[in-house]
Amino acid sequence: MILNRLRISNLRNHGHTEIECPEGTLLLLGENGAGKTTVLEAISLLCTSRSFVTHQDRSLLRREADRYQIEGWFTSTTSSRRSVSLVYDTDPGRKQIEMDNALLPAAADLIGAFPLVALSPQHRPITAGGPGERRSFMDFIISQLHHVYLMDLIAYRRALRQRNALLADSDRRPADVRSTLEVWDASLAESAVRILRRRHRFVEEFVPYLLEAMRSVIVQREEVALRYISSMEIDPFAETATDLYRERLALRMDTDIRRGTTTSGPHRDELEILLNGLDVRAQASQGQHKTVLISLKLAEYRYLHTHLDEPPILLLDDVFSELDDERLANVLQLVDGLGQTFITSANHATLRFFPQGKAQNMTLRLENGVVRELAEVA
Amino acid sequence: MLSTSPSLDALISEFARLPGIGRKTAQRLAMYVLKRPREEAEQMAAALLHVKDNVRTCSICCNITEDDPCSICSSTRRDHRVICVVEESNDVFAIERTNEFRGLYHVLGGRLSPLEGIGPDDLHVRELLDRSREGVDEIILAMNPNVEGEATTLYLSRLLKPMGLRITRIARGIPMGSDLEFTDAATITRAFEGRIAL
Repeated sequence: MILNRLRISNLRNHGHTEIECPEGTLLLLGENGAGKTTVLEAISLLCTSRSFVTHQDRSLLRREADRYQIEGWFTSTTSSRRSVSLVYDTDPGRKQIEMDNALLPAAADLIGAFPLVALSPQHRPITAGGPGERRSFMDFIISQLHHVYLMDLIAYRRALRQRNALLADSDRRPADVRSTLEVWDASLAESAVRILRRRHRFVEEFVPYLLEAMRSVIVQREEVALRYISSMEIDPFAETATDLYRERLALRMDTDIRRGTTTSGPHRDELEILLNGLDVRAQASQGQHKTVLISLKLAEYRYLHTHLDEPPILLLDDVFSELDDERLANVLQLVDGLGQTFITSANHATLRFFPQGKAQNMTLRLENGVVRELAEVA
Repeated sequence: MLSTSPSLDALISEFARLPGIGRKTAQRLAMYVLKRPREEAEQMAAALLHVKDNVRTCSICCNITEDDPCSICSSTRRDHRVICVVEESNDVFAIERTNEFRGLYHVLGGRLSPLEGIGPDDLHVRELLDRSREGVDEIILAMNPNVEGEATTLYLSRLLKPMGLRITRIARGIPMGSDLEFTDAATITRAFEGRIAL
């Protein structure tokens, strides 16, 4: 997918910005706070309905503005013209998204249509943070490929909230718990088993991509592995998996009632990343965290590309401050062969990595939310 | 912002109570009422009171009605052996518009939703069980196709099945008049699950 033109109004410090994007790499240079990352956020919002920085739409609004709008015009691999327009207005206080000039009933309907991979310092928790970060990483990749998976996730979360509300209120309404808990269990079990199947299959498919990405980022051999740790000990591929799942839920009913929440299920699972047999989260060095994160993201890119027949758009936010020169050179060499890429940097020296004069590449300078042509090449 | 008339302000705040009506719309509605002839305002006021005085729920199906039992429950031309269970009265209107269903209804008055504090006792479930004990052959469950509707369907089917009745649910799938290519994946998946032999 190629983003040909991007228009931003009233997003953070951008009043009105319009960018004609090159098909190769667009390098955005500027001081901190110049609005580089905002351009990447805008692209992320267009492609996935959300920013990788914040989930609060209000905080994206330009000061004094009550409405922001982002528009993008794309070309797909099959040369068809696509467009997305996203508007957030404080009244009614939610986003409205139009895809190819038709209003989308739900933001979820956008996911997968414009594949995207983003890497920014905001993604560090994937290797260093809690299990929820790794579940989100995994869920977002699968959701872009399988819309049904996303629907199952939404249904699961909805049923989970209902079940938890019931459990939290069990003191006041004990009869309701007795008579209706199994109904919510059945609802949870159905989506949970499908979610588990898809996640197990994903981990299996994804590992080879991760191994290859690791080998291309660093020279020395490090053994990376992924392990899905389920909080519900069942085989999701068994024919009777849904029934088994419900039985397990029933067995933990007392614990769940006592804690007032659902203590097991896909929302409590972990995707463990192992480096040379050790848990990355607890044991890896700073440098290893960076290597693993970049490898995960490159693997995400290749995995999506292979399965979608459409090269994703790649966003690299501030990776120059993250990496030493050697790793950076490796990464940029890899990126060069990928699809359309948007890169931000605060450092003019990074220009040396981008041979000017290549027709498909372009550099822009940002200053306080305003895009300028690059006056001179440093 | 307050106007120069306390009466107008009072009307605006009454309109603003209505669901989906914000302050601005309430002001527009109030100004409209102010500009129209007095008779129209009287009609509106009378209609509001009339609805409160005369509309109640049917003691059999729990649908809204002015006569008890309602016209559907007391009709001799309908099939009293089939009951269609719906969440709200609006759903009855929707099904009645088709002129296809000739059985009776049962309005639950909502669906199971612990998040909103709604359990079985807050719905007209007991009334449904009482009705189902005699003279009924089939119960059709027609809840909305979402997480709460599905849970309610499952809950009722578990209660009703031991009574030896035929329990059915309405089909889920592609809406008529729409295009397959524009239908979301979840709906298509459900439609495949519910495919029928020809």
